[in-house]
Amino acid sequence: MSTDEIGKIKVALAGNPNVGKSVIFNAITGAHQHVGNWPGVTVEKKVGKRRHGEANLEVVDLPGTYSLTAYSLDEVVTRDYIINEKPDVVVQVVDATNLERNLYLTTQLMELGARVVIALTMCDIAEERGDSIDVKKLSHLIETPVVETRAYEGKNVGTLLDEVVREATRKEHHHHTVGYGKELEEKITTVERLLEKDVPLAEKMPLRWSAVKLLEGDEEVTKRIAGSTGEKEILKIQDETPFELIEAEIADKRYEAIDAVLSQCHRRGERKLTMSDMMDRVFTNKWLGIPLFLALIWAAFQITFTAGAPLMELIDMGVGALAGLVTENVPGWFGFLLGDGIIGGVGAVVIFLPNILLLFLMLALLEESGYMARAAFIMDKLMYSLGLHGKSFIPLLMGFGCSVPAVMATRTIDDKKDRFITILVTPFASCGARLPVYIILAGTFFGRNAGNIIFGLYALGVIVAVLSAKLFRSTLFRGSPAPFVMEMPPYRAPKPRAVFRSTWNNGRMYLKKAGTIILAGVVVVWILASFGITPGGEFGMVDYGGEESLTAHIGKFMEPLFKPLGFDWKIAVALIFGFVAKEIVIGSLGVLYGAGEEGLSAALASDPAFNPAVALGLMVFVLLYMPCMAVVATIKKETGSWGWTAFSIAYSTGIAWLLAFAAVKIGILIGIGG
Amino acid sequence: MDEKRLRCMVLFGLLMAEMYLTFGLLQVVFGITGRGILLIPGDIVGGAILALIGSVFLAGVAVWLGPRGEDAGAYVHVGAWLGVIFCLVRFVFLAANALAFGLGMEDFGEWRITDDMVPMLYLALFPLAAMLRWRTKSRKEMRGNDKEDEKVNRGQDDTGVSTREESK
Ligand SMILES: Nc1nc2c(ncn2[C@@H]2O[C@H](COP(=O)(O)OP(=O)(O)OP(=O)(O)O)[C@@H](O)[C@H]2O)c(=O)[nH]1
Ligand SMILES: [Mg+2]
Repeated sequence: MSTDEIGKIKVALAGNPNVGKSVIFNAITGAHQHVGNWPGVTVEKKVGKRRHGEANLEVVDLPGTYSLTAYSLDEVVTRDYIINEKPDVVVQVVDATNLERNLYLTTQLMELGARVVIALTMCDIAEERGDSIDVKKLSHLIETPVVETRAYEGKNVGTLLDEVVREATRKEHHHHTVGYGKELEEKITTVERLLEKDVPLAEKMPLRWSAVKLLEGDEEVTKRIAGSTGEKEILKIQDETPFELIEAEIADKRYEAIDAVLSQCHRRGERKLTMSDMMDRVFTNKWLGIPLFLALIWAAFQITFTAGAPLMELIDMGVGALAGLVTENVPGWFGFLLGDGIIGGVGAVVIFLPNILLLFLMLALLEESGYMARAAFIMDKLMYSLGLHGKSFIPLLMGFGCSVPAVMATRTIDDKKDRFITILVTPFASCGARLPVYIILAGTFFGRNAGNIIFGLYALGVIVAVLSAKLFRSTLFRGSPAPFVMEMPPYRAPKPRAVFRSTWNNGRMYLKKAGTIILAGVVVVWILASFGITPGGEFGMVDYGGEESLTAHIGKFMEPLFKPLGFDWKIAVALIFGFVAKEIVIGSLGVLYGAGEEGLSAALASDPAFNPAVALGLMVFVLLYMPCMAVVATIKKETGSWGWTAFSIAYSTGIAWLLAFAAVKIGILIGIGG
Repeated sequence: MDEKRLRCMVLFGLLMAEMYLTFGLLQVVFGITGRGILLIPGDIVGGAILALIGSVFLAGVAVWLGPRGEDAGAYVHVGAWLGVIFCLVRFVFLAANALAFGLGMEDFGEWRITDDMVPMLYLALFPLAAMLRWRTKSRKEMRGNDKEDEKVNRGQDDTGVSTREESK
């Protein structure tokens, strides 16, 4: 950039996975990026803005990466951004408890010629361990600004930004690199010379970095020089170069340099067996691991359901009273729309806010504690035998919240087959939007067993996912899953602030959704239920939700499909609109039953079309049938193929129909069908 | 931590293993037969979880007898944590049910507070007390360490049960 004036400064946040980049990003920009204690939370770059003094900062949060040699899709995002977009300053976020490995990336960034500012995180943990870091000295030795941050408390962010601005506006950029020894350096210089010959290319690529990468046999960089003047000679040099040896030698030299620096400014405290190590012995124990996982998940769901129930009742009372007030006092069709339509429909969704908050609270605890990565590890063996990768378990667990980020989370899976299988089965994990359906139906028709029925549905979702994976593995994607490699983050007592933030964000999004998409959906359903073809053959207002209404026509049209399941036209309509967002299944039923005042539960209980068997079938159907619009769009984006997207819709709906049919029939067999 | 303290912990683990397993299995059996007595109601899932916690303690004892005896402390420690965590979970249930009763919700007319006085809740008093004691003890050790550390540190160190407090 032009260094004379302070204008827009492009800042990239880069670093190893799970070091706290997103926490810093949120602190700088006020965004609500997802944060969690396992590697691979952020998989897509995210831009935010901040004004700092005179400067306009454009800050980018990037996925974590161990090095600039990218393996998985999320790492490619980071590498491409740093190399192609050339940010003015790269803030490398460095985990103070793991300096050596983190600084390895620093050496690469420096080689790229990037202006680097280091933000140290996890200093609290390093202190607790008794490590000591002389920050000034470290900064001096590597000739790079180093700022100790405590972004999770919002501290030192200003200081960090001061350094960023100073670095961006500094006239001279001091280029420093690690020396690789005479022999290698000679080779590097030769390649650099060859690259230099092609001027336009040389302007785009940092020479030394490219030369090193070429000597390491990096495919991406080799592709980039295709057609350049020096290509032939470089390829010839590459032919004579033992890539692996060179790579190892370069890595050695880098670590040597890092050690030389650290030995002067870093002292490790005495290492003792920490609580985290102790917990690992037990939680990843061969025999106890899986049962403990099940027990913890069971507890999480029971809390979501049991503790949510009375809170839900409170909101329900409020909604009922409001609907009553409106129907009594607002005259005409508008009162009707407001009372039966909007309050009946949106209210039926909003009352689940406590459950949703609790669900996301449980997920936040799971993520922040560091147990998420363990769950993947514990399940790896089992998953492997079923044709899934251990890492696939993380999207499945995240899917209990929302399938959209869950499908995106598959980007951390390196192998394409593993990744596609995971994308296809992830929507079977029951997301938060489906929970209201279960709570209403199980609560109405299964009384005290509701909790167990709901837990059973979640389990069914996972079982279907896993068996489908097995099926896909033995038909569409033959082969065996790649080996499991994943860094285990340390267990940490979740920070209340982080947990609260994450929970509340999700709650807010739920309310927002209720006020927008769901509101729109239920208004549409209300209109369709209010208008229709009158007996005289004219279009106009008809008996609400009666045989002549448009909803009835739509429902009747679909009825043959749902008849074997025992679903009537109202359910059919609700299911169709559920494609927009699954909460609308409940919202639509709320509208169609005009359930504002008395509550949907009571309305359903008194409808002869419903019985426990039908309710069970409906829950199974909602659990498994095609994912909602947003997820379909995400699947399209992540697979890049309409074919696979269509397959996903058809497969899930087919399975849903079959299993719902089975559920209804079993229900009738065991005598709950009447 | 010294040998003596480890032995103490393992002994405590054995005691807890017995208690959690007994109560847990009783609850499972009561759950299957559909009976149950005051303070030990039948509950298959709840009982299974108690038994699982008991198994963690028991695993600690088993590890102590094995070649890597010093790891035993980790199991007892984590077992105690689990006991306390599930007690909290159970306490949330109790609070929620009490609220539901207060609101006069369906299904809760018959609810009595004793319905929710289950082993998962009250058994945790033992691990809780033990944990508090371990904490104060390790604090004291820390203070003692400066002056007369010989006595405390004579045994093997690094036995696998150093808590955060110890390293502060
Ligand atoms: N104790 C402590 N925890 C921190 C600090 N900074 C971040 N964390 C926690 O570290 C974990 C990782 O934070 P993220 O911001 O998600 O890390 P990230 O670098 O964005 O991770 P990826 O997106 O997976 O690469 C979270 O659990 C944070 O709450 C810190 O300074 N101290
Ligand atoms: Mg992140």
